[in-house]
Amino acid sequence: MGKFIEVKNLTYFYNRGTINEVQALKNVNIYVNRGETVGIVGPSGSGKSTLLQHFNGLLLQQNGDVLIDGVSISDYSNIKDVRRRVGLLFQNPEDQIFERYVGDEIAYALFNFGYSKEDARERVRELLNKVGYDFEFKNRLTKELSGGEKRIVSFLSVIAYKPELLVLDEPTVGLDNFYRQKILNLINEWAYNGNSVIMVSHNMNEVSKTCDRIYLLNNGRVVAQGKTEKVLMKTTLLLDSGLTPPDFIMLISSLKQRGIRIKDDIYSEEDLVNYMVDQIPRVKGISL
Amino acid sequence: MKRESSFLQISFKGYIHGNSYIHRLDARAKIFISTIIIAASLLTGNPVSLIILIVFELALISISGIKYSYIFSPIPPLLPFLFIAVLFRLFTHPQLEANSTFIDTIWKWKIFIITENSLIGTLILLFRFFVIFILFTLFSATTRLEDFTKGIERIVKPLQKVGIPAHEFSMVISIAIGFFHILVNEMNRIIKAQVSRGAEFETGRFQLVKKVKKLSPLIVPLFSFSLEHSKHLVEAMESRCYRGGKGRTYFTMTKYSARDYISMIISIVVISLSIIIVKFVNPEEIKKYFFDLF
Repeated sequence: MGKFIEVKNLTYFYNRGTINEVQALKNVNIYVNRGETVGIVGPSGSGKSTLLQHFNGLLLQQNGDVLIDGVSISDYSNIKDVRRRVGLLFQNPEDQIFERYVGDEIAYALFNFGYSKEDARERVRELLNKVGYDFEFKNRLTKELSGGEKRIVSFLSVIAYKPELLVLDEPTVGLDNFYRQKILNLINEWAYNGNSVIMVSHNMNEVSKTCDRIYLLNNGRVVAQGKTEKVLMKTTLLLDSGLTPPDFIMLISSLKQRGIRIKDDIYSEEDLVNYMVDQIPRVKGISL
Repeated sequence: MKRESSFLQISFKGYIHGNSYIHRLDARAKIFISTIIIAASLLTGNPVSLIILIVFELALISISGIKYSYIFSPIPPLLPFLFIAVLFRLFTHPQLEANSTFIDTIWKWKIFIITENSLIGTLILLFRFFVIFILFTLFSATTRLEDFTKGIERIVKPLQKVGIPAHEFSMVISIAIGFFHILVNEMNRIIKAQVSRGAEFETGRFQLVKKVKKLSPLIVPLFSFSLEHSKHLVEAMESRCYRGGKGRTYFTMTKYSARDYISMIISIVVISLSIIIVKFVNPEEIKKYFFDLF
């Protein structure tokens, strides 16, 4: 499992050289292995979206480097080749959708990457079926879609051309439970098929269930990194960064504060439930 | 690597926060000074007057604390258009119709002729462009849109007596200017959405037709967005009971201060000097000095 993408000492300034200069990224180092799902978390304004836009060359590095399979993206003869390999889902679906009809929106990238009309049509059919829509859904006007449907359409328009790395900027923010679950299922399915995913999120519950590793960004710097379960246990650091740790960690913390002894190696909701079920007979003297 | 530099960097130079002397001037004073500078630059037919105006504006930039690089940064995308305008002015000769003989021909090749007059006319065109360009950029960098709107409204207010709706007039101007910012941002958004999925906008530097063709997929979504946005704007104004200028009050009111009067007087003096000074200099001497340089 080698590194697919690697960011080395990345620094980025907005309005560089003007009195409005703002440093968005400070010497950031991260990497994503093939087939890995990595979370990037941090408060608003911590540089997450700026970092994501470097992955497919929407922003070009001012200092430092971004390597794909060990090759700097500045060494690619055509930036289109980078975008073919790295798909980016914008934070708000309204930012991504510009075509009049759903079908055109999903097929937009396919034509840019040389799909024939028949192949593109077949791919649109396949994708719409995947999310449970009828093929006729392609004729819906994009401006008439609900927020959840827009998110699904923008997600499909990115995975349509099968990029090797999927970069998602808060893919579930503002969605109801139905569409959130639908999007999370799509992400998990994508990752399960051996693709790499980078996901930005404020929702630590989702991150804990989806990501293998996490980078915590604050003020443009990586302040913590490692296995998801390890980073999420740093509750003070998360709270100081304006993030709420997952519910099960908050529950463990509350129980510990009330003097209930709980073992330290609980890394998921499931672990906690199993542990508590084990403890009940001892507490009550009953058997389940 | 191919980069979409020129397309992804469409920008509009807006207001920059600051507390300089220029920033603190009343918007009406700035509008007055800008108007007389533009009027002087259009009325004068002398490059020396225009150079004095440019130097005056450079001094204003220096006082405002804004970097010269920021003021001049929108120039590169305008260069092709400027180049075409310069070519037209250099090789067209309005005096040909009045006078069939060339007395002052500098260079000639087939039908292409450069005369002293066309050369000086070209310089005037260039200097005029810079006078207006610098003024516009400096004005927008040091004046908030709402201050500008209020300034316009108060300038036009006396005309209400003859039936001109001052408030609506200034509101239309401010929405039009505000929309320009919004459209530029929207265009950048659509470009980002398209290039992130493999669209290519980059063409050769002088392939204008190709460039226009590549821009066409942007026009329809941009047009539809602007209609949608204006509808939202109307709804937002109506939902907050907008009723036009009648009976409307303001949270802050602007007042002329000594600073504004002093600035307007200094500007009138400098601009008048720039026009009067050339009356005391023999135009033939200027011409001779100018051509001796080459």
